[in-house]
Amino acid sequence: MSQYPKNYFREKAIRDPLYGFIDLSQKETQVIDSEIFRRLQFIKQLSHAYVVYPTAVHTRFEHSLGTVYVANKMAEELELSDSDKEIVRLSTLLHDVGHGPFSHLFEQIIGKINPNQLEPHEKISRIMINEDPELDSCLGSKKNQIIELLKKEFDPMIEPTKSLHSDIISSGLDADKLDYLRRDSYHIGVAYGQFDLDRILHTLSTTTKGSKIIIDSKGKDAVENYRLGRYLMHAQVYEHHARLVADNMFLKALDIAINQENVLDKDLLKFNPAKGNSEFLKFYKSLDDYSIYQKIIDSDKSKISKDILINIKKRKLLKRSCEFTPNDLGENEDVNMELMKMKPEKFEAISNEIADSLNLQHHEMIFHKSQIKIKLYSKGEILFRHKDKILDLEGVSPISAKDSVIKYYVFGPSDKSIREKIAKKIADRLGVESNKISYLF
Amino acid sequence: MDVYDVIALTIHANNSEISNRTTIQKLIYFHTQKLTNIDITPYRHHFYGPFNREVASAIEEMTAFSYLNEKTLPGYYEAYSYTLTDAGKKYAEKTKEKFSDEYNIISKTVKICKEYCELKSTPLSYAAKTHYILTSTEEGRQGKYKAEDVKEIGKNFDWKISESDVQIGVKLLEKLELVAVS
Repeated sequence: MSQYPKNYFREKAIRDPLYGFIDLSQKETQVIDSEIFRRLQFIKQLSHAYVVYPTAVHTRFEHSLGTVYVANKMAEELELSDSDKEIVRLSTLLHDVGHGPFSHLFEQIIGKINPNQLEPHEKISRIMINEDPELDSCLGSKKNQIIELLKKEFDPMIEPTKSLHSDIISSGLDADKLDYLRRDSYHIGVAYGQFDLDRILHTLSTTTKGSKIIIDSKGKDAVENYRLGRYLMHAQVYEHHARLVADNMFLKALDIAINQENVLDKDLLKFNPAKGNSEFLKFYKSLDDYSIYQKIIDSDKSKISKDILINIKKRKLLKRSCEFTPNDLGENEDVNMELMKMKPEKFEAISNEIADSLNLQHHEMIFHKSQIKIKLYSKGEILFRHKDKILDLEGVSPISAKDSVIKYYVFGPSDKSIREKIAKKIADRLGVESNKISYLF
Repeated sequence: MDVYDVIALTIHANNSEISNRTTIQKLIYFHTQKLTNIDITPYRHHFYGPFNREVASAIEEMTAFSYLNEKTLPGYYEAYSYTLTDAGKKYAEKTKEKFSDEYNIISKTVKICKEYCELKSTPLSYAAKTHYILTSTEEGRQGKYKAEDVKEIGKNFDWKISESDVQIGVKLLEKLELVAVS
């Protein structure tokens, strides 16, 4: 018998274009009304994808609400108790609360300032939930359980139930992806990310020990559709070259604003476990997609960073100079090996070196590696039940391809003659003919 | 040595060809127990046994860069066979020269596994799962577990591993001089 009142999770209903209404509990309503959560209304879900798709301006706020809806459906299918359901719902609601301006882009900056943090936004989420007084008063005794669940790594041997709950929040088949693929598709007007959510939800199950989500055999094709949708969204939207260049220009601007022009105080972006994170939190809470642009553009100290951001606003983006895949490279083993093992900082070093040789400023060139998994599944990532056996969908999928698509882009100024020179320099550096890698031929 | 080096040397040690990604995963799991200067993130629990995403990703990259040739083997379960291409063989030879001591350890492990089970993924998985269980607790590390204990603990990982499976795994682990159960 549930200890929760009948309408506990239905204190408030919020309109949503995908689900009609999303019901929330009183506690959840308090969370979404907190200052820290409301920030998400000003952080776009798809960062600079709006330079390609003008309606890609929906936010982390509505996506977070959407994940609660999906997580609730999953929890019901998996017959979670009301108390477990509450923790799962609150955790999914808060799963993105740590995102900064332009989401994963700002995360890269935070990662450089705070090395050895694998996924800084999750660390920030935990800091926020743990240390923000307003969230603390909303969450009360649930706080520690939520923080624990958002840590992701659970040993199914010791904590099978938490491992299952964690799967709902973050796994190959989690509420996050089940929401954002359809939501992104809906908002930008493409059909690639659509799939049969109801079928997936109605065929959810668990492994024998109950530590992992699996899908019943009848839901297999719906999951195939979902995973194919994920790939297509990456190919068509998330890794679109114009979005990539706008994102990379923004990153350059931030790097310059922080490390060269001192527009933003780097010390305020450092985690400080010894002294507490109140200064960090205060500053971080003031940042969103709009305020970061204004802070830099309005600053007396900014020059290059301001110019870059104004160019993004005017959609004066750098243009493609080179676009190539590993197959376009020659037989030079040293070059191929170097490129395969190349770390992000090396791409920047090569870009700077070539920019110097052409008397360009460093921010006028970008060398970027884009990688999309064609392979729809990683091993054991999505499991399904076939008769009395649990099988790996990767092993039986007729549409499971094998490789990633790796693509390299080099961007430069709009002047075509300069981009031709860049392409030539890159070709020389890689030991290939320009026409094999240049976008301009 | 990095993950690419270990993959190249592992396949090189078996005449430049290994069928099945799981086999590569499990062989490298054993290498990580034996080599000290190997720069790979730790293996994690996974439904099919210990698994390393970095290894999976490097296999994909080496295929994309044509150091490996990936072939699909027919059957209900798709399985993939990996061979070193000419470029991959050259890379492996260079790496072998650079890390000759490590290569000796890698090739010895591959040889033992081949003699034991023809590099079939199932026995290798039994051994890797058993090793993972045995090394995940102090009692296991001290050799206090029996096969039935490993089987029971395996259930908690959602691993279906019978006592006879554990025995198959333990025999290989003994040959590899990794661990033993009482």
